Amino acid sequence: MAAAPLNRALTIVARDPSVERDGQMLLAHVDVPYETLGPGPRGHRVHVVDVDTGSGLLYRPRPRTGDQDPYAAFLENTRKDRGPLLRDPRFHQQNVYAIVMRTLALFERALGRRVAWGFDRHQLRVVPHAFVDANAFYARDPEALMFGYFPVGKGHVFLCLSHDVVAHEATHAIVDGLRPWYLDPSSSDQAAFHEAFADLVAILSFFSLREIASRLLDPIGKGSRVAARHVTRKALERSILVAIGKEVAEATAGRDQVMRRSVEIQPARDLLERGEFQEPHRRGEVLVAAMLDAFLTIWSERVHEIADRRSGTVSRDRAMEDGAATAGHLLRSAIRALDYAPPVDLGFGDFLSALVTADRELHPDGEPLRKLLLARFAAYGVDPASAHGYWEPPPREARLESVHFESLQRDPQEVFRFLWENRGEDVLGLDETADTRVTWVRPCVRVASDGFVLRETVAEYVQSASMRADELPRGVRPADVPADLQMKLTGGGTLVFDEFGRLKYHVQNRLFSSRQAQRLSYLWEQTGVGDRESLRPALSFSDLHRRRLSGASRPYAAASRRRHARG
Amino acid sequence: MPAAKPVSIRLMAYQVGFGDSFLLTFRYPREERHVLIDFGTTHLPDGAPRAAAHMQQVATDIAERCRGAPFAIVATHRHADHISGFSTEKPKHAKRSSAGFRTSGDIIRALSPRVVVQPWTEDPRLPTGASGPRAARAVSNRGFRSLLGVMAKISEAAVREGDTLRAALKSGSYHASVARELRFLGENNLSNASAVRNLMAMGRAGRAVYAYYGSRSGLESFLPGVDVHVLGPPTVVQSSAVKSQRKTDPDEFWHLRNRLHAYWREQARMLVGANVAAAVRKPRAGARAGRGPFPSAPVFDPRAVPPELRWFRNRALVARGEQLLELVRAMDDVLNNTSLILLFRIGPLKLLFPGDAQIENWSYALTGRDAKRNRELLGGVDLYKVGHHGSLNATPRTLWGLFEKKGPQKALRTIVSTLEDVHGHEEKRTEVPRRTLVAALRSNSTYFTTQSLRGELSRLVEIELTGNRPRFSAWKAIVP
Repeated sequence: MAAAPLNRALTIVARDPSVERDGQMLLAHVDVPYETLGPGPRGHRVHVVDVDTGSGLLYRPRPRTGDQDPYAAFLENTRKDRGPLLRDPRFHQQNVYAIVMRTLALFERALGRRVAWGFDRHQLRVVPHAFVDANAFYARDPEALMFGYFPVGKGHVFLCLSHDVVAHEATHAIVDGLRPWYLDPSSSDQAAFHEAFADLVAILSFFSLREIASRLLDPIGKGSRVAARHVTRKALERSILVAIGKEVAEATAGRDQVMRRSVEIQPARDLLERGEFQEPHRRGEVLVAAMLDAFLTIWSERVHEIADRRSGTVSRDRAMEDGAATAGHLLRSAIRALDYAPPVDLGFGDFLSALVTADRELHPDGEPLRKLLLARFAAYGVDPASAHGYWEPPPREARLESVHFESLQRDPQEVFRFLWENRGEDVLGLDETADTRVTWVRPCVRVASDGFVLRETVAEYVQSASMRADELPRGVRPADVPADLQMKLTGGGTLVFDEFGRLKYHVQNRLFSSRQAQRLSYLWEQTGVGDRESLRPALSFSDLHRRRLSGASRPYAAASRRRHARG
Repeated sequence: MPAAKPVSIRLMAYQVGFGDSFLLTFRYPREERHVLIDFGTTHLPDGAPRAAAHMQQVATDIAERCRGAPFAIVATHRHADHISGFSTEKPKHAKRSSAGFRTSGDIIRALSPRVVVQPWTEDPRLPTGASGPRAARAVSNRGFRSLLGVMAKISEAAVREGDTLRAALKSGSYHASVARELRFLGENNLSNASAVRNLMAMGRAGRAVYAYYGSRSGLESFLPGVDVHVLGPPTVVQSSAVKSQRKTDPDEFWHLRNRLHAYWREQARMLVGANVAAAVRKPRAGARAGRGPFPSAPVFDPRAVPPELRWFRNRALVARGEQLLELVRAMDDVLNNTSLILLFRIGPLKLLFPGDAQIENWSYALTGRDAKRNRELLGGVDLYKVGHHGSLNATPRTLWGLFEKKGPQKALRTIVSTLEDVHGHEEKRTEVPRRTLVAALRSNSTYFTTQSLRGELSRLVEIELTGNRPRFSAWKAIVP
């Protein structure tokens, strides 16, 4: 019996149906992890259910096709009219399945382990034609990604056919599985992070479709060489490759529009202080801009080095190879950074420290890139949470005498024992009176692009306590809060163990700290008259995306504008 | 002309269920002058007659009190729960009966209001593309008026789709409540065309004033001895000034931005153009969609959806219902934030009527150029008409914090016109009136709610102005 292949190639719309070359919508073959698919497609992680909630219609699913890609002929025969694909819901079903699975695989490869969803089931539902609206969102309830569509002229725009949109929404679902507390109200940075990260994944993951991406370097999209003027830093900033939502924007706002081009934000140290950047989506763009700035700086320098001065051209393949390598490297480090970030109350500075630390773990010789990252983030007003950029090792070696390493890799009970034995101020600095829960523990095997293997165990714990404002220690109680107000404190940390079970990093937001004071102030600012707790609910991506599209957002409270100092 | 100063004020609060209707009577030594502030309802208490008949009763009562006396109208914004009573559209049963039937709007019009005050956003003469309050640069009047039409279309489509969802889900109290709230908010946002036309006509016959932050209210000569401060809504130009002056302040009058308008137009085009609603009621056994974006695509017969898909299908329908709710709530906010905010100052007495204004509308008064003066002015408020029927968003904490007369002594008077269990959900903290706000109002002010009117048409409070300090009577029942 032949072994099952590792991957399955499926045809997808390369970017979105508005991106064409030679008058044809660009298609691509993507590899997704092989599995025995049911109708839907329905796999072990994703189930496509094609229900249109506006009309109540439930489209029949793409049938089992064995290992065949029923749409391969459209890609192989470049003259074949691709228009019918837009009118075939079953192709759309395949398209969303492939991009969601590809995005999930990207995370699992980068993290070196399986990733669970943010709800208690194994399969995420994906609805390609959920409603009439230029909106798409992930929601824990109904455990699904929902994509809208809307009429334009005689046709329709389908958000499920946009690589940007599908990868963006899939990222929300994946990050929610990894870091469920990031949806909670906590700070303006945390509110912004989900959107920023989803945009980064959507943009950078596209570069792995190297052949297709290379065709988007210039308007011609063919030939072995591309004019150098199309791959300058300025030209790349204007490229579709670093923009989001071309088709949707063109359909709703006019020709040559895109929904977001965050890289155009001019760097300034005070960006995050400005009123405009208090809105979560706009604030998130600062993070995207900083990352893309670093990416384009590296890429454009490399392209400049390989340009042929006489002909004023660059090898298309080489240029793209460099772009894809840089994008892939940054994306993997950004994903791994999630394992080095605190589980609650994430700030942009935390993410930056996690990013450079994660990168150093797998690429010890990549100091120049990390210096560049720190410098470009600093230019946008994002400073690392740790004094030296990288997370520091614990101040004292943790006690391991009573802990079994084998169990420590998998068993939350064992991790809790480790926490308990090391809770003292000199090692972990946990408050022993708080309710402490180890929420997960996973062994990881991470592989660098050069084959270097890193084995780690990552565990996460969350602490909570509830007390009256007048019981809070000095420095934690926010100003103007009534003494008898019952406040809910949340803190937590991420533990990264090396392959011998030694604690390498403890990334913590402490329960009693100035950081907690800022969090409580932020929440207090969101309360209504007479209310005892914040009115700001957990993030709703449906609402957030609608506000983002319409440019409308409620003002955020003054407390949220204060810079976070690490506590 | 009356003597220069009123000697007392009478405030009547009418029972209009979920809506607002207040009659302010200014008593001068030789005459009375009346200002009707809003006149609408969307939901009446159980046992009340139909809306048209009830509002007719209220209008008749107002007419009897005001007949022959100088009369003015303030319509804070165009939501149905604030202006539906101005409608002159006859109810169906009346169309077939006598020609002499008079609607509530007819009765009010017969009072020949001398002044009709509305927010600047209602000004029909606002030219396209000019600048200034009579002409916001970013949003022209024509643009705004067409936006209102657009919103009405979205509301219709949302209500229709909500009904479709309810039909598809068939049961479940939660599902029913989502659909009910969709219908409630959707209907409140409908165009209310007849009422709007009547307000315009009354304005033409008397004097129409379209006020904005800092403008004259138009009531100056009508109410001698009374300062009427217009604290909202700001114009687009004003709110832009705030935005550029205060780099670190995120507040802005966001709901009048061009991008938002373009968004709503797109929403209307999508929802109305797609015409997806109601398809679910006509199952076509066998087979093809017959409509939607893929008319020839094979579909499941709705009566034979595979069991493993039914569970998820229902959850997806509920998710869509909630998404539509977000949409109509956002539209609701847009109109609420066009509310006039009026502060009447009569000697030491200050009465605050903010319509349904929310924080975005308030932000110019509280953080703009005159913030210090406004904060002082608001600090001394004696009577506060609670914004938006007691919802959580319409009494910003910053505003509440300014009221110096609140506290256990209950020197502050508050009044809310509302009906419980109509709008929002307690578990989502969106119920109106918000339970916690009401508790704070009760413990820090002398609180009155029209909810307490059982079988009564209205109650009144008298405010004597002859001494150094205004003296409030208790809320009194009206003896017929």
